[in-house]
Order: sequence, then structure tokens, then C-alpha cells
Amino acid sequence: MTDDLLDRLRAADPAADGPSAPLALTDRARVTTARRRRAGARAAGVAGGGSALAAIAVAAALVPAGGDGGLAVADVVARAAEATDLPAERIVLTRSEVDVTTHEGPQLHEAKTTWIRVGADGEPVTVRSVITEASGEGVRAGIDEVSRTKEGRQVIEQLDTQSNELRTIVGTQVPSVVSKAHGLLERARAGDGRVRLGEETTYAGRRALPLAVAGVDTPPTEGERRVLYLDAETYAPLALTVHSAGDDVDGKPYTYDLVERVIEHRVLPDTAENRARLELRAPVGG
Amino acid sequence: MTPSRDSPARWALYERHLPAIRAYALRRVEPDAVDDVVAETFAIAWRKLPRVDDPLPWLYGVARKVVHGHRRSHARRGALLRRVASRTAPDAAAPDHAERVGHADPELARALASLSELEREAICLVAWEGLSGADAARAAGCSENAFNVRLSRARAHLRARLTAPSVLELSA
Repeated sequence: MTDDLLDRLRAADPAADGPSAPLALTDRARVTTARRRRAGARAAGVAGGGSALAAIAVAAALVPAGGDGGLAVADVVARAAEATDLPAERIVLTRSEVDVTTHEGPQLHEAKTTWIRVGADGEPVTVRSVITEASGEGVRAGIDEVSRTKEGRQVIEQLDTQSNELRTIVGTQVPSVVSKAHGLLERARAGDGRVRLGEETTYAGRRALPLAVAGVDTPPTEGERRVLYLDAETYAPLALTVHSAGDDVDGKPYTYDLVERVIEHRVLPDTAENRARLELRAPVGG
Repeated sequence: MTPSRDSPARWALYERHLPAIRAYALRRVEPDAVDDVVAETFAIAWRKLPRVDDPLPWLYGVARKVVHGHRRSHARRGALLRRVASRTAPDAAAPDHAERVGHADPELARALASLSELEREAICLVAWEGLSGADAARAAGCSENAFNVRLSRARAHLRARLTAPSVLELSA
């Protein structure tokens, strides 16, 4: 990336006139000393006291993914909120799947592809979603929807590709599970509801951080547990799960499990070719 | 290939990446703290280096945390000094990117100081460390998407601060 802003920063590089090649042997001695000090701190179980040891403890607690040390839940929420934020002047592609299972067995399956064209202000300009697979009550494959502002109103143009019926609905759609996750995380960041960070686990073969959320966007429901699984390295959402169990109105026990998984999440340049993907009837694959 | 924990391989890693980590530290802390920051970074890397082809972005990430810890220590010492000697204690805050730039380009330094710490680090990783978006995201400890968001905000804010008329110009 070259431009006048970066050129100006480079011209002011504090290291440009820095010391010439460091005295490697002297610096090796410092590394050895630091290693011994850290080993001593680990052996003594020292967690603070003295500026040098305090700095070591802080550094050890904040080692990036790939090393030891955990993060506070507030840090995880902040990082995940950033990871799910919409990048300005880009097109975001998400493929996701939803499965609902109850005590009676599988109820619903849906696969969806969503494109979001993001404006210069970081807000969605156009959203297109296509249901590519569906089975179960109330869902059908082939529903193609585009949300945009038309004559000052937010509208959804919905095309049923099986019947070729086109209709316009006033309203907006929640674009994808990633958008849902971002909404939850931003509200949690603002202090809404309760968020609890669980121990690192594995989800879909990836290291994952489970974030249990309650009462963030809806009042907490007894017997319900919502967990957002985040990639332990990138903090991007892997899945949003809802589990609830209890007795139904007839006093019979029930369970309900919803799993919404992110299959693919990509940022595309805002080109004419990619903008064409947000038109009804445009090809879904590729 | 990631060196095993045996000393020659680790020292080879040290020699290869020392200039980059040293420059990183020099850009962010006062000169007499650079050696300590570099030593702590490689001391951590000795035990925790992940198995990756290019460890430099990860090393930058460790250095970032060490610099952060150093600045917090300075802030705590400064606060303690101010409590102990309320009238004459010097401000012991550690310099950051903006202050290190101050001598070369005061206007840029003021603009840089107005960014958030995350925005400053994002634009400096690209401008000074010359990292790609993917590597800078690894160094910053965030997803590439999150990094791109930070970088675009940093560029927009910095450009706005640099093109806004200064107070002196307005009052002239």
C-alpha cells in the first residue's frame, strides 16, 4: 500500500535514524537474563510486585493466540465485535446453515448464502440472501431476497424462484448469523445482559472459545442456554447455538436445539462484478 | 520451519528477527527501554513460539504486549510518584508512537496522538513495519477483517486531522 499518508508516516519513522546493527552478544546476555528471571518467577509463583516482574506477569498473561494465557471476557467480546464488524466499501459473503432438532428429532434444515454491500459509513447498502437448501416445516429452498432502500423506505424484494412470484415487503432482514453475532456482541459490550466465557474447546475441528450469553437482546429465559462459539485465533464466529429444555404446556418434557453455523465468511472488493451478485436471480455459486 | 527448542536454532531465530523487533521497540518506547523490551520478547518466544512458517508477525504480537506492559508500568510508577511527591514529580508516562514521531513531524505527531491506540498501531504496522493486512492482523492479535476496519478508520481519522486547519491558522 503506497500513498501520501503512509509516505509521510514512513518519513517520520523513529527507527530510521536508530542505532546501527545492535551488539548481538550483549543483547544475547539480556535475553538469557530475561529467560532466567521468567523461569524464577514461574517457579516462585510470583504474580506481581516490582515493575520488572509486573511487566513480565502482564506480558505472560497477554501472549497472543498460539501461546499460553487467557483473555478477560471483555477483551474477547471486544475482539469478536471487531471481527464481525462490517468493513467499509466492501462486499461481505457469508454461507451459513441452520439445523433445528427437538426431542422428536430433526425439524428443520436451511442453508443460506448472503452478500452485504457495505457503504463508506460502514452500514449495509444492499443485502441479498438466497436459501439454497431447505427441508422442514415452513422453509423452502429457492427464496431469493434483496433488501435495499427504495423511495426512502427499507424494502425487501422477494423472489420465489420456484413459482417465479415476485413481491415487495416493507422491512429489513437480519443478513446472517455473523450479523446476529455482531449485534449480540455490541450489546454485550455496552453492558446489556450477562456474558460468560467458557474454557477453550473445539468446534468443527477448530479451537474455539464458547461465550454464553443471556438477556443481551431478549429477557433471559429459564431453561435456555445460548452460546456463541468464536474461533480462538481470529475471534470470528463459528456458530450460534440455542438449547432449551423443560416441560411443555401439557407437562411433557421437551428439548429444543438450534445450531446456526458459519460455513464461509469472506470479504470481497466492491467491484461492478461483485455488485452484480446482489441482484435478484444472479448466480449463487463461485 | 519452526526451530526446535535447542539453543542454536533459537539463537538463529533471534539473529534473523532481532533487527525487526528492535526497530519495532525503538518506534514505541524510550531508547533506554528498547533492549529490555527486545529481551523480554525473545525470552517469551523461547518457550512459546508456535509452529508457523513465518514467526515474525507472531513476534510482533508478543512485542506489542511487552510494550503495553512497559507503558502500564510507567503509568503506575508515574501515579505513585505523583502521590508521593505531589508538587514536583515528573510525568513518568512512557512515550508512544506519536511522541517518538514528534521531533520529525510535529503536525503528524499531533494527528497520530488523536487516534485510538488500536488505530495508531494498525497504521504503524503497515507504514513502519511494512506488514501486509494478513500479517498485520496476526501481529495485532485480531482477524484480518477486524484489522482492515481499524486501518480504514485510522487512515480516515489521520487524514481528517492532518487536513483540518490548526488552531493557530484559525486564529490568525
